[in-house]
Amino acid sequence: MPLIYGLILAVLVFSAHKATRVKGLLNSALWLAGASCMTSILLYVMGAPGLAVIELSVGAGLVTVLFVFAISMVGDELINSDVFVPRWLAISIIVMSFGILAVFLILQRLPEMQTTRSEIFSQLFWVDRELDVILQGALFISGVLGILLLIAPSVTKAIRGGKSK
Amino acid sequence: MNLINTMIILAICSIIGIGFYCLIITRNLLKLVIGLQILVKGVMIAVIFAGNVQGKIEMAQSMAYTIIVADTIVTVIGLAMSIQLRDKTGTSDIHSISKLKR
Repeated sequence: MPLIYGLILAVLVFSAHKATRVKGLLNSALWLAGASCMTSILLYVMGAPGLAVIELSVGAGLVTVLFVFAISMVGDELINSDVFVPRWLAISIIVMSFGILAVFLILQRLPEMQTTRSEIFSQLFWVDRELDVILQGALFISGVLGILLLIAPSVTKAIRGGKSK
Repeated sequence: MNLINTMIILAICSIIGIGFYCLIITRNLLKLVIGLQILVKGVMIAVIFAGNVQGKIEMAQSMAYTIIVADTIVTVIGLAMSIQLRDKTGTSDIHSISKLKR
Protein backbone atom coordinates (compact mmCIF):
# COMPACT_ATOMS: atom_id res chain seq x y z
CA MET A 1 0.00 0.00 0.00
CA PRO A 2 2.75 2.58 0.75
CA LEU A 3 4.10 1.97 -2.76
CA ILE A 4 0.73 2.84 -4.33
CA TYR A 5 0.41 5.97 -2.19
CA GLY A 6 3.99 6.99 -2.98
CA LEU A 7 3.48 6.55 -6.71
CA ILE A 8 0.22 8.52 -6.75
CA LEU A 9 1.65 11.33 -4.60
CA ALA A 10 4.87 11.56 -6.65
CA VAL A 11 2.94 11.88 -9.92
CA LEU A 12 0.57 14.38 -8.29
CA VAL A 13 3.37 16.65 -7.03
CA PHE A 14 5.21 16.34 -10.36
CA SER A 15 2.06 17.28 -12.33
CA ALA A 16 1.37 20.24 -10.05
CA HIS A 17 4.96 21.45 -10.42
CA LYS A 18 4.87 21.09 -14.21
CA ALA A 19 1.53 22.93 -14.37
CA THR A 20 3.11 26.01 -12.80
CA ARG A 21 6.50 25.88 -14.54
CA VAL A 22 5.84 24.66 -18.09
CA LYS A 23 5.77 27.18 -20.94
CA GLY A 24 2.48 27.70 -22.71
CA LEU A 25 -0.90 28.07 -21.03
CA LEU A 26 -2.43 25.11 -22.86
CA ASN A 27 0.31 22.81 -21.57
CA SER A 28 -0.29 24.18 -18.07
CA ALA A 29 -4.01 23.45 -18.34
CA LEU A 30 -3.29 19.87 -19.46
CA TRP A 31 -0.83 19.28 -16.60
CA LEU A 32 -3.47 20.69 -14.25
CA ALA A 33 -5.96 18.16 -15.60
CA GLY A 34 -3.38 15.44 -14.91
CA ALA A 35 -2.96 16.70 -11.35
CA SER A 36 -6.73 16.66 -10.96
CA CYS A 37 -6.88 13.03 -12.14
CA MET A 38 -4.20 12.03 -9.64
CA THR A 39 -6.06 13.93 -6.89
CA SER A 40 -9.23 11.99 -7.64
CA ILE A 41 -7.35 8.67 -7.56
CA LEU A 42 -5.82 9.67 -4.22
CA LEU A 43 -9.22 10.63 -2.80
CA TYR A 44 -10.62 7.26 -3.93
CA VAL A 45 -7.77 5.40 -2.23
CA MET A 46 -8.23 7.48 0.93
CA GLY A 47 -11.86 6.40 1.24
CA ALA A 48 -13.84 9.21 -0.41
CA PRO A 49 -15.16 7.70 -3.67
CA GLY A 50 -18.07 10.13 -4.09
CA LEU A 51 -15.78 13.11 -3.86
CA ALA A 52 -13.32 11.45 -6.26
CA VAL A 53 -16.03 11.20 -8.93
CA ILE A 54 -16.99 14.87 -8.49
CA GLU A 55 -13.33 15.95 -8.55
CA LEU A 56 -12.70 13.95 -11.74
CA SER A 57 -15.76 15.29 -13.54
CA VAL A 58 -15.46 18.90 -12.37
CA GLY A 59 -11.68 19.30 -11.90
CA ALA A 60 -10.42 17.32 -14.85
CA GLY A 61 -13.45 17.79 -17.10
CA LEU A 62 -15.32 21.05 -16.68
CA VAL A 63 -12.43 23.24 -15.52
CA THR A 64 -10.13 21.98 -18.31
CA VAL A 65 -12.78 22.70 -20.94
CA LEU A 66 -13.27 26.19 -19.47
CA PHE A 67 -9.51 26.77 -19.48
CA VAL A 68 -9.17 25.69 -23.12
CA PHE A 69 -12.11 27.96 -24.03
CA ALA A 70 -10.56 30.92 -22.18
CA ILE A 71 -7.07 30.31 -23.61
CA SER A 72 -8.48 30.11 -27.14
CA MET A 73 -10.15 33.50 -26.59
CA VAL A 74 -7.33 35.23 -24.70
CA GLY A 75 -4.29 33.65 -26.36
CA ASP A 76 -0.88 32.91 -24.94
CA GLU A 77 1.43 35.83 -24.25
CA LEU A 78 4.78 36.50 -22.61
CA ILE A 79 4.51 39.14 -19.87
CA ASN A 80 7.59 41.21 -19.11
CA SER A 81 6.43 43.42 -16.24
CA ASP A 82 8.06 43.35 -12.81
CA VAL A 83 7.31 40.68 -10.22
CA PHE A 84 5.88 41.81 -6.88
CA VAL A 85 8.25 39.65 -4.84
CA PRO A 86 11.79 38.56 -5.88
CA ARG A 87 12.06 34.90 -6.84
CA TRP A 88 14.59 33.98 -4.12
CA LEU A 89 12.44 35.60 -1.44
CA ALA A 90 9.35 33.75 -2.63
CA ILE A 91 11.15 30.39 -2.62
CA SER A 92 12.59 31.00 0.87
CA ILE A 93 9.19 32.08 2.25
CA ILE A 94 7.51 28.96 0.83
CA VAL A 95 10.23 26.55 2.00
CA MET A 96 10.36 28.05 5.49
CA SER A 97 6.61 28.21 6.07
CA PHE A 98 5.47 24.92 4.55
CA GLY A 99 8.67 23.04 5.38
CA ILE A 100 8.30 23.93 9.05
CA LEU A 101 4.60 23.05 8.89
CA ALA A 102 5.42 19.63 7.40
CA VAL A 103 8.06 18.94 10.05
CA PHE A 104 5.65 19.90 12.86
CA LEU A 105 2.88 17.73 11.44
CA ILE A 106 5.18 14.75 10.92
CA LEU A 107 6.59 15.02 14.44
CA GLN A 108 3.06 14.94 15.87
CA ARG A 109 1.69 11.51 16.70
CA LEU A 110 -1.28 11.29 14.37
CA PRO A 111 -3.42 8.15 14.56
CA GLU A 112 -3.45 5.64 11.71
CA MET A 113 -5.77 6.24 8.78
CA GLN A 114 -9.11 4.54 9.20
CA THR A 115 -11.44 2.96 6.71
CA THR A 116 -14.50 2.67 8.95
CA ARG A 117 -17.52 4.82 8.17
CA SER A 118 -18.75 6.86 11.10
CA GLU A 119 -22.03 8.01 9.53
CA ILE A 120 -23.94 7.46 6.32
CA PHE A 121 -22.84 10.08 3.81
CA SER A 122 -26.21 10.73 2.15
CA GLN A 123 -27.89 11.29 5.54
CA LEU A 124 -25.18 13.77 6.47
CA PHE A 125 -25.14 15.57 3.13
CA TRP A 126 -28.84 15.75 2.21
CA VAL A 127 -30.46 15.91 5.66
CA ASP A 128 -28.01 17.30 8.21
CA ARG A 129 -26.46 19.85 5.85
CA GLU A 130 -29.57 20.59 3.77
CA LEU A 131 -29.25 24.37 4.07
CA ASP A 132 -25.61 24.22 2.99
CA VAL A 133 -26.56 22.23 -0.11
CA ILE A 134 -29.26 24.77 -1.02
CA LEU A 135 -26.74 27.59 -0.54
CA GLN A 136 -24.25 25.74 -2.76
CA GLY A 137 -26.89 25.53 -5.48
CA ALA A 138 -27.56 29.26 -5.15
CA LEU A 139 -23.81 29.92 -5.30
CA PHE A 140 -23.49 27.84 -8.46
CA ILE A 141 -26.38 29.68 -10.16
CA SER A 142 -24.95 33.07 -9.18
CA GLY A 143 -21.58 32.00 -10.58
CA VAL A 144 -23.14 31.02 -13.89
CA LEU A 145 -25.01 34.34 -14.06
CA GLY A 146 -21.76 36.15 -13.17
CA ILE A 147 -19.81 34.55 -15.99
CA LEU A 148 -22.64 35.24 -18.44
CA LEU A 149 -22.62 38.93 -17.48
CA LEU A 150 -18.83 39.16 -17.63
CA ILE A 151 -18.30 37.22 -20.82
CA ALA A 152 -21.31 38.34 -22.87
CA PRO A 153 -19.93 41.60 -24.40
CA SER A 154 -16.70 40.09 -25.73
CA VAL A 155 -18.43 36.97 -27.06
CA THR A 156 -21.08 38.97 -28.90
CA LYS A 157 -18.34 41.23 -30.26
CA ALA A 158 -16.35 38.22 -31.46
CA ILE A 159 -19.46 36.73 -33.13
CA ARG A 160 -20.30 40.04 -34.82
CA GLY A 161 -16.69 40.45 -35.92
CA GLY A 162 -16.73 36.98 -37.42
CA LYS A 163 -19.97 37.66 -39.26
CA SER A 164 -18.81 40.99 -40.68
CA LYS A 165 -15.75 39.30 -42.20
CA MET B 1 4.43 7.83 12.66
CA ASN B 2 2.98 5.87 9.80
CA LEU B 3 4.87 6.02 6.50
CA ILE B 4 1.71 6.72 4.48
CA ASN B 5 0.71 9.61 6.77
CA THR B 6 4.21 11.10 6.44
CA MET B 7 4.12 10.85 2.66
CA ILE B 8 0.67 12.44 2.47
CA ILE B 9 1.66 15.33 4.77
CA LEU B 10 4.80 15.97 2.70
CA ALA B 11 2.79 15.90 -0.53
CA ILE B 12 0.12 18.24 0.90
CA CYS B 13 2.74 20.77 2.02
CA SER B 14 4.52 20.50 -1.35
CA ILE B 15 1.33 21.03 -3.35
CA ILE B 16 0.18 23.98 -1.23
CA GLY B 17 3.72 25.43 -1.47
CA ILE B 18 3.77 25.05 -5.26
CA GLY B 19 0.36 26.74 -5.56
CA PHE B 20 1.33 29.54 -3.18
CA TYR B 21 4.60 30.12 -5.02
CA CYS B 22 2.71 30.33 -8.31
CA LEU B 23 0.33 32.87 -6.76
CA ILE B 24 3.24 35.01 -5.55
CA ILE B 25 5.45 34.88 -8.62
CA THR B 26 3.12 34.85 -11.65
CA ARG B 27 1.67 37.85 -13.45
CA ASN B 28 -0.55 36.22 -16.06
CA LEU B 29 -4.13 36.10 -14.77
CA LEU B 30 -4.81 32.70 -16.35
CA LYS B 31 -1.67 31.23 -14.79
CA LEU B 32 -2.75 32.75 -11.48
CA VAL B 33 -6.02 30.82 -11.67
CA ILE B 34 -4.04 27.62 -12.36
CA GLY B 35 -1.98 28.29 -9.22
CA LEU B 36 -5.16 28.82 -7.22
CA GLN B 37 -6.53 25.50 -8.48
CA ILE B 38 -3.39 23.68 -7.35
CA LEU B 39 -3.54 25.38 -3.95
CA VAL B 40 -7.16 24.34 -3.47
CA LYS B 41 -6.36 20.75 -4.49
CA GLY B 42 -3.77 20.60 -1.71
CA VAL B 43 -6.22 22.02 0.80
CA MET B 44 -8.90 19.54 -0.26
CA ILE B 45 -6.55 16.58 0.19
CA ALA B 46 -5.66 18.00 3.62
CA VAL B 47 -9.34 18.18 4.61
CA ILE B 48 -9.97 14.58 3.51
CA PHE B 49 -6.78 13.41 5.26
CA ALA B 50 -7.82 15.13 8.48
CA GLY B 51 -11.28 13.59 8.28
CA ASN B 52 -9.78 10.16 7.62
CA VAL B 53 -7.42 10.38 10.56
CA GLN B 54 -10.16 11.60 12.92
CA GLY B 55 -12.61 8.94 11.73
CA LYS B 56 -15.05 11.52 10.30
CA ILE B 57 -14.48 10.93 6.59
CA GLU B 58 -18.17 11.55 5.71
CA MET B 59 -18.16 15.00 7.31
CA ALA B 60 -14.89 15.83 5.55
CA GLN B 61 -16.36 14.67 2.22
CA SER B 62 -19.39 16.91 2.56
CA MET B 63 -17.12 19.85 3.44
CA ALA B 64 -14.90 19.12 0.46
CA TYR B 65 -17.96 19.28 -1.82
CA THR B 66 -18.40 22.89 -0.75
CA ILE B 67 -14.71 23.53 -1.48
CA ILE B 68 -15.10 22.13 -5.02
CA VAL B 69 -18.20 24.26 -5.71
CA ALA B 70 -16.63 27.47 -4.41
CA ASP B 71 -13.35 26.76 -6.22
CA THR B 72 -15.12 26.17 -9.52
CA ILE B 73 -17.06 29.42 -9.18
CA VAL B 74 -13.87 31.35 -8.38
CA THR B 75 -12.13 29.76 -11.39
CA VAL B 76 -14.99 30.62 -13.72
CA ILE B 77 -15.08 34.24 -12.53
CA GLY B 78 -11.27 34.46 -12.88
CA LEU B 79 -11.37 33.15 -16.43
CA ALA B 80 -14.17 35.55 -17.35
CA MET B 81 -12.16 38.41 -15.82
CA SER B 82 -9.11 37.42 -17.86
CA ILE B 83 -11.19 37.51 -21.04
CA GLN B 84 -12.51 40.97 -20.12
CA LEU B 85 -9.01 42.15 -19.16
CA ARG B 86 -7.64 41.04 -22.52
CA ASP B 87 -10.60 42.65 -24.26
CA LYS B 88 -10.29 46.01 -22.50
CA THR B 89 -6.51 46.39 -22.05
CA GLY B 90 -5.01 44.07 -24.67
CA THR B 91 -2.95 42.12 -22.13
CA SER B 92 -3.45 39.49 -19.42
CA ASP B 93 -1.03 41.18 -17.03
CA ILE B 94 -2.48 41.57 -13.54
CA HIS B 95 -0.71 44.94 -13.26
CA SER B 96 -3.19 46.31 -15.77
CA ILE B 97 -6.24 45.08 -13.83
CA SER B 98 -6.69 48.55 -12.32
CA LYS B 99 -7.34 49.88 -15.82
CA LEU B 100 -10.63 47.97 -15.90
CA LYS B 101 -12.38 50.71 -13.91
CA ARG B 102 -14.07 53.35 -15.97
